[in-house]
Amino acid sequence: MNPLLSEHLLTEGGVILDLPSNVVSLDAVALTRALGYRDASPPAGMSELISSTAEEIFNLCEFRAGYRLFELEALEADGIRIGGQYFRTGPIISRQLEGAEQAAVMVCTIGAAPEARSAQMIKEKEPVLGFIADTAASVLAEQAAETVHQHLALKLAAEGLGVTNRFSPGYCGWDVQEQHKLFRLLPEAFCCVRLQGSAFMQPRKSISAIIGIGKGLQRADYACAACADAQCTYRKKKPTS
Amino acid sequence: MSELMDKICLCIERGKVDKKAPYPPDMMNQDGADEYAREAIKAGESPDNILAACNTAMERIGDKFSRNEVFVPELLMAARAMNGVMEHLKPFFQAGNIKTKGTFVLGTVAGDLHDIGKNLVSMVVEGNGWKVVDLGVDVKTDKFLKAIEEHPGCAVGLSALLTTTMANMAATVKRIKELHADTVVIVGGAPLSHKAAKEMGADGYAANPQETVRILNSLVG
Ligand code: B12
Repeated sequence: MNPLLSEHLLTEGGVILDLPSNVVSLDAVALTRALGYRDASPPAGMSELISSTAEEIFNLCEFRAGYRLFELEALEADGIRIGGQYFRTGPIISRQLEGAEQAAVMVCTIGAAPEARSAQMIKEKEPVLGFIADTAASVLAEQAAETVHQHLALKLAAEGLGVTNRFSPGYCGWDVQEQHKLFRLLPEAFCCVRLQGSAFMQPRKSISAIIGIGKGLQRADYACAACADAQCTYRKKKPTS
Repeated sequence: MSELMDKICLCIERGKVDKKAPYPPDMMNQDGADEYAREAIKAGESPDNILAACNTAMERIGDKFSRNEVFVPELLMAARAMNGVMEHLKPFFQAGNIKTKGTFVLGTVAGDLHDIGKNLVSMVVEGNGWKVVDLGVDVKTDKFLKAIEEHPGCAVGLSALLTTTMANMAATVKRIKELHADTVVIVGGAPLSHKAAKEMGADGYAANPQETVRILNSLVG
């Protein structure tokens, strides 16, 4: 478990977190799995390429993260209202937000340098390195999100509050189009992340999510059995804490 | 297959690019696909034979991939070694002595900037003897249509990352099929599936570069 991060309140609303790179560490097991080696290990020589490329990418990361708290104005069967916006999250998510009094809208990114480096490797006809670099960047983005989540859990625990899992637009039946509504709740270019018309965030290695907050809430298994998305990567994956 | 062809085949299958490449460690400081291809051409080996050796190697690694014995990084390493051999064969392609299997026009659809998956597909398809015309990212329908006119008989590949841009993909597929009913369209990317591909009127869906090659090769018998 990471220590509490320092927070900076923004006048326009929201909190920016200090996310020095030493609080995010690269999860080598998650990386090997993400590269496709689920029950197998990488062959001799590949492991070295993986660790050296991952380290290079890690050193290029500029972690940025922040969140904004909202009262939960309404919780309905297929969605929630926060900040005057109704989010049609679908029943899988709204059910898991039951008991929440507030919600944190969070964003995090690792910056644009890792994806630029990976693109350069591909351009230089080094597809293996480019793929490893891109995958390491994705894993690091996930870990940055996890760090923010743990920070919130720790901070709120001190106030006697618990947190739910984090839920991202585009997952668990929540339409990715609703990214537009979500970003309307945040200051312009929050954490230097911008949303394109097609709901695509830039930098690419960025994550947005909502976390429910309330007394007695806790992170639970994702409700995969209720979800129709057979292809989802996170299917059956257990939360990390 | 001659001994030199066997060596080219093995180097590609193992992902041994050239002599200085540290991968795989058990072939350290040995010649790689690059050196053997140069040697083969110098020895007067026919480009057709070299190409056949490459195809055999890619088929072998592809089979291993399908059996989950190797994974995307090894597949890419083989494609990387194969692309090196292709560099040596370029003059023969240009002179018309040997032919590519066909042309694959590839792009990430309008509104979408995600290109890693598309780029990996591009490299593996190219490594398997196809000419790839990569249109880049955020490719509007008109650009695909123009490329189809410029490359008669080509197959087309479309990539998308999000469900929002998958809707743009469906519109592009529809337009291509309206104007060029015979053009084979293959789609791919994280949110795609066989079902989604069928619903949008595409001819095929591939979850990875190897499946893409399998579909493309089936078009040329
Ligand atoms: C890694 C990952 C991330 C990373 C990096 C994302 C990135 N763009 O770089 C992080 C953690 C940052 C992330 C964030 C998000 N993600 Co994400 N992510 C994934 C994941 C697990 C893998 C995607 C990936 O990069 N794979 C590796 C590359 C190499 O593979 P690929 O691009 O898919 O390409 C391969 C094949 O698809 C195929 N292929 C690709 N193109 C083509 C073309 C043709 C013609 C063919 C034949 C084949 C083919 O071959 C390629 C090589 O094998 C997928 C789920 C999954 N299992 O695919 C979700 C997924 C793409 N993410 C999803 C979502 C929703 C998001 C977010 C919107 C979540 C959020 N609210 O924060 C954001 C969006 C980010 C942004 N920039 O806007 C959804 C998208 C679907 C949707 N609902 O729209 C997915 C599908 C997960 C899901 N719900 O099932 N994500």
